[in-house]
Amino acid sequence: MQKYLKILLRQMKNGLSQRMIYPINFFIMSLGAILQMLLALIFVQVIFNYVNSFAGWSRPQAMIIVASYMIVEGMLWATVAMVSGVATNIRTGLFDVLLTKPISPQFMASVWRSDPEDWMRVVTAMIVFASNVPALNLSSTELIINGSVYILLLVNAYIIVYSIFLMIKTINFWVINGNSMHMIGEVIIQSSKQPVDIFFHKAIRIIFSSVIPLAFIATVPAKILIHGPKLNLIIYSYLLAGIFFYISRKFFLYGLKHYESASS
Amino acid sequence: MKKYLTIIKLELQRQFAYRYEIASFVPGNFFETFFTYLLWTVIYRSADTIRGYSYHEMVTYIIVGWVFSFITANYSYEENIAKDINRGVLTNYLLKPISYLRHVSVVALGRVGIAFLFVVFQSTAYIMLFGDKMIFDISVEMILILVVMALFAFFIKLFLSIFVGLLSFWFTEVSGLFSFASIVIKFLSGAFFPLIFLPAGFVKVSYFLPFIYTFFVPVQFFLGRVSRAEALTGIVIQFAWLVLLYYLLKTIWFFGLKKYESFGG
Repeated sequence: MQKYLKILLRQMKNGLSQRMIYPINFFIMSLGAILQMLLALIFVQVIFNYVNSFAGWSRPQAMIIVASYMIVEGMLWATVAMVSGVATNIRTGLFDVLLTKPISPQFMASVWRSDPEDWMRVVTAMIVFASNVPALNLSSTELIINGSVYILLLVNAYIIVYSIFLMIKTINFWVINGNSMHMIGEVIIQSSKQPVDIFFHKAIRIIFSSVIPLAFIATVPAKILIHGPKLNLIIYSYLLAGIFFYISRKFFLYGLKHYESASS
Repeated sequence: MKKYLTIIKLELQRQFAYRYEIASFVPGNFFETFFTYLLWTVIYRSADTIRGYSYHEMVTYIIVGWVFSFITANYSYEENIAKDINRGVLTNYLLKPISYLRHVSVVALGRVGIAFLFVVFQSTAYIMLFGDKMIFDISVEMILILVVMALFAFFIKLFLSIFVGLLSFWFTEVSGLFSFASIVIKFLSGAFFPLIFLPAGFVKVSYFLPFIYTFFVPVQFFLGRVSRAEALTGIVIQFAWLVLLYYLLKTIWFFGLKKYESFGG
């Protein structure tokens, strides 16, 4: 475990070093990450200039959902670049190198690339989070208990989104250039920055709560923070994280059997 | 002319070689539009009009805006140009009897041919799904004006993309600038949300920039919120920007080539 953590930190440090070769470019990328987040927030603000509630959520509650999504998305980009390393290594044949290492190829391919500029997303999200929590009127005890469970559910959200993108990237073992699949995944995941209650059709809500658990990326953690822990949601969150991680791992290993090197 | 048609043909063939990849973009586009539609449907449950926009106008804004945005999109040409410059591939084009900038433009035209096929297919699907919630008050004159706007918007976006790519003559790494520029352009064009939601002064200034004519103004014209005279004025402003961007590109190309160095053969 320590070995994996060391490698993850080393890869992240390498990612930052690579970016800092061109510091102005890194600065602009960081600005771009902040701008993207700000535009999402401006959109929420614009909506609430004309309505009092959005799918049953008030303005600070909706901001908490956006901030929760931003934290998960930002962490995924900052640590594993949305698992882009898997696709890159398959396409370039660098997987050969990973397969010879005495460590899980899934892990190495996942941490191959990190985008340090996306820590700005996480920082922006935390500022948004911190500025909207007071409006939730939680007592200190509620804040500690709800906040602790909220953090645990965000970890599960990270695992769920990681697993979804690992499965998407695994398709590259067969199609080599699967950029469009990444786009589909991104579009679907990005919809979780809105409350899942916008899916007013019951069947669609069930699909996005279980088959593609968008609800557990931001809406459910926010719900727990605002209204308190609900045992069924917590258990379901852990179940989904476990199931998705298991399936994605199995699918990756299955895909690995079909790997053909691009090099000599 | 024959050589440009050949380039277009080659680009079409290249695109069809990745037909799975292209076809896979369709569900992604659909989901993006569908989620946006859902979002505004929920918002309009709490209000009949928002900033003067009715629900039907907003749905029309989303769908027509998507169509316009898709057929005028360029596909990371700035990245391709940057790679050509940084890897020295540009040298090959300098030796050929064809202008590099024209080559990029013609390749872009080839790609938009494929995009157009998908627009026809997806637009039909959208009209079947959302047609009863949209506003259709179109005329032949309107379509002609929109076609001209689309053509100019396509080249404005393309020239902006080429401009960013050509900065690679001076900067080795410009990927940050690509993504930053595309976010800014998308925002200023009204693709994130209608620009009328922003302060009036901001919108007024936007009318002097080229971006608003790549999404917001054409869609406003479709909705009848912009008169024919205003649309024609918009076309004149688009043309002025095209000329300005064209000469800007020529200038950058001239000075960039002086700085250009290539290694290897």
